[in-house]
Amino acid sequence: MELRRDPIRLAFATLGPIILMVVFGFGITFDVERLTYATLDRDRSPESRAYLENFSSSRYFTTRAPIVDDADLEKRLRSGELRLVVEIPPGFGRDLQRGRSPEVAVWLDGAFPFRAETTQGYVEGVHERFLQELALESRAAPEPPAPADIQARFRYNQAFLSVYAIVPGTIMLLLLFMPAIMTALAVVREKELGSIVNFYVTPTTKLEFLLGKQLPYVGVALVNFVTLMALAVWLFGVPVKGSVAALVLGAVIYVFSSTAFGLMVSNFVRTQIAAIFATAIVTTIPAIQYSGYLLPVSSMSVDAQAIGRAFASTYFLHLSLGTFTKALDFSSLTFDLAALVVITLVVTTLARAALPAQET
Amino acid sequence: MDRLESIFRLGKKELASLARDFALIGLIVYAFTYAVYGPAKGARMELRNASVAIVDEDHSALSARLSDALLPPLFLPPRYLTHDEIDAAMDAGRYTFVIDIPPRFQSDVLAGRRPTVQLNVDATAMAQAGRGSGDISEIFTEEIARFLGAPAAQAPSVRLVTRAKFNANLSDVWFVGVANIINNITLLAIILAGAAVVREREHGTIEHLLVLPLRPSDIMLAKVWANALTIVAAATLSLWLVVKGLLQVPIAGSVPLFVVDTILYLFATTSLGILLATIARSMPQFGLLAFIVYLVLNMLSGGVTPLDSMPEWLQTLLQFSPTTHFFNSALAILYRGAGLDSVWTELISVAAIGAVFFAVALARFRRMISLMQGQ
Repeated sequence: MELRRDPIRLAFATLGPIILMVVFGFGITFDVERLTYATLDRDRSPESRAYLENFSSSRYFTTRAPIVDDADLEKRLRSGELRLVVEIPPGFGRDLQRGRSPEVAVWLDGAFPFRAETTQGYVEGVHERFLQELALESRAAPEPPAPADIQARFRYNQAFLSVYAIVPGTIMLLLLFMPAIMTALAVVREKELGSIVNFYVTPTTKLEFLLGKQLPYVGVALVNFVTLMALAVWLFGVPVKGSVAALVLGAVIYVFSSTAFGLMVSNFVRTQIAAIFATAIVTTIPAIQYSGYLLPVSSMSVDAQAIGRAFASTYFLHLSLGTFTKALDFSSLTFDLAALVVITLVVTTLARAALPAQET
Repeated sequence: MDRLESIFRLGKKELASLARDFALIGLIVYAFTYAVYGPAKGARMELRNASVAIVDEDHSALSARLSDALLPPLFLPPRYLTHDEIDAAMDAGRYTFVIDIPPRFQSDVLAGRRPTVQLNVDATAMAQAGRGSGDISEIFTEEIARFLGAPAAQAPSVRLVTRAKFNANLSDVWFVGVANIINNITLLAIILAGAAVVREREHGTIEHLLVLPLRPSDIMLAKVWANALTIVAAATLSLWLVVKGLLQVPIAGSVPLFVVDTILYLFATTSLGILLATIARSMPQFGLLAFIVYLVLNMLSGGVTPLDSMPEWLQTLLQFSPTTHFFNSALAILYRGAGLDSVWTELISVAAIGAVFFAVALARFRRMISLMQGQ
């Protein structure tokens, strides 16, 4: 096999996904913490310090040097040093004692909306806590109990940690990118170097040719899958709670579809550069943005959903999340498996149909 | 002068070979148009269009009010389920939130028996679960209070006013558009420059160049400028036409400063591409290597999830990534309207990292060429 003669490529192909898995598993996280903030205390009273105390003691915030004036506030938010600024107006302590409601201003850096929204939630939490302390101190009448409870249950992921969502998702990404790019390159390389002529003179059918190109990479991808699963379970502590059989079966079909996708791309491009680029750009956007990796499919716009549903990644992601985190059994995943099979067949057919068109 | 001229001429040759590859040109156009526009419109991380289902076992005026209180654009119109359908719907990932209003809810509220509304959250939907569940509880608490006709919760003794600077509505369209331009710049720069080197080596055309009185650094500089020019032009056009035009994002800062920033960044990434090309022996090797590097730079630039949340060792490591600095400075320039005075450290970092990549790439490129000449 061609691949065996190239140990360096084999090494990249097996080690690459491991490195990526480690880096993504630790790096992609929605657990927003350690937000840098600074204060602009125009009051400097015991009350204002008590208010700010609540921020410095929170694990979500990291204090930076206080702000001196408006220009400083503007400049430091602008440079990206600070994520938020808490500004206490002059006379804060006095107003509080006299029962007037002073106004605390919080400035958020809106350049990163997801972070800003999360930050806003934390700020409100800290603020609430201060109000409660205040109520306790003043021994005012306790607030009447709420008329109803709203009990949130975080299903599938009680600790609400990103790792349980990101690690199964990353497996989906890597089992698409690596096999697709390797297969695409293998075919285009022959085109560019001219050795594809061998295929025309030997009596192989198109399907045999394609499968022959595909199988080695399916093999590599399955090795990747096993190592990635091992990393997920032992390094990240994300156990497979649902049907292992469904996960393995799904992975096998999925890598067939990824390699077939690579073959299909290879039919539309002539140079290896274009092959790398085409595979990269055509796979990353649906897989990262539309599959549900970063946000739920049900919240996307109609065209994004349609594109997402046309790609195998969306189904494999659901299957991967379903077996790792949601503890689903085989029967509830049959739809995803069926969808994977259909997409794989369609992609393979397209790859096969496009093959002769390019040769003339 | 002669050297400059030959660098210029070589670069033109590079552009000409690019122009002949129609598939590649088509991809570049796609990368800077739909690939920027589509995700910005379609896949946003802010809490918008959260999918909600309600299991209303009460059918009272109050439970109807609660369902009506979940309004767009934050929530999609709620669907109704029966109690038995909850698990299947959540397993299939059809809804991020399923709210269960128990029987006799309204009468229990009125009688002061404190019934419990259950809010089931699909906690694998990280981007929406946390924020959304907080919002839903808040909305419901307010709505119930209003239903009871209770005076609005007594004015708290300190009011909190939060304002988001630079993007007052916290619209994600702005963010995703620019993040995608940056991703595509990275991808193109690494691949175009690196692949140009690998291709010449595989086809043996580097020997032709070596016959000419050229230095290795000239060949490299020619590749850097030609590829960088293509990408700067594409990125700037995309910023004007797609981000500013189609997506209607107001750009606060100076576009020329952004272009300067991009040029520095391209110097770094094209050098990185060439460096990778000298490590790889063939195009398939290069493809894999480049893709791995691209994914790391792209996913960890801070454009997907914020850098602040990553483990400290990773943050330190990422200080050596030009993408991190470029992302920071691009965001600062375009949205916060930052001037050179506040982003110069980032610009210098990008340039310094670029210089290191260039130096290492040049050293390896020289060795590669002398090896080839030795053959």
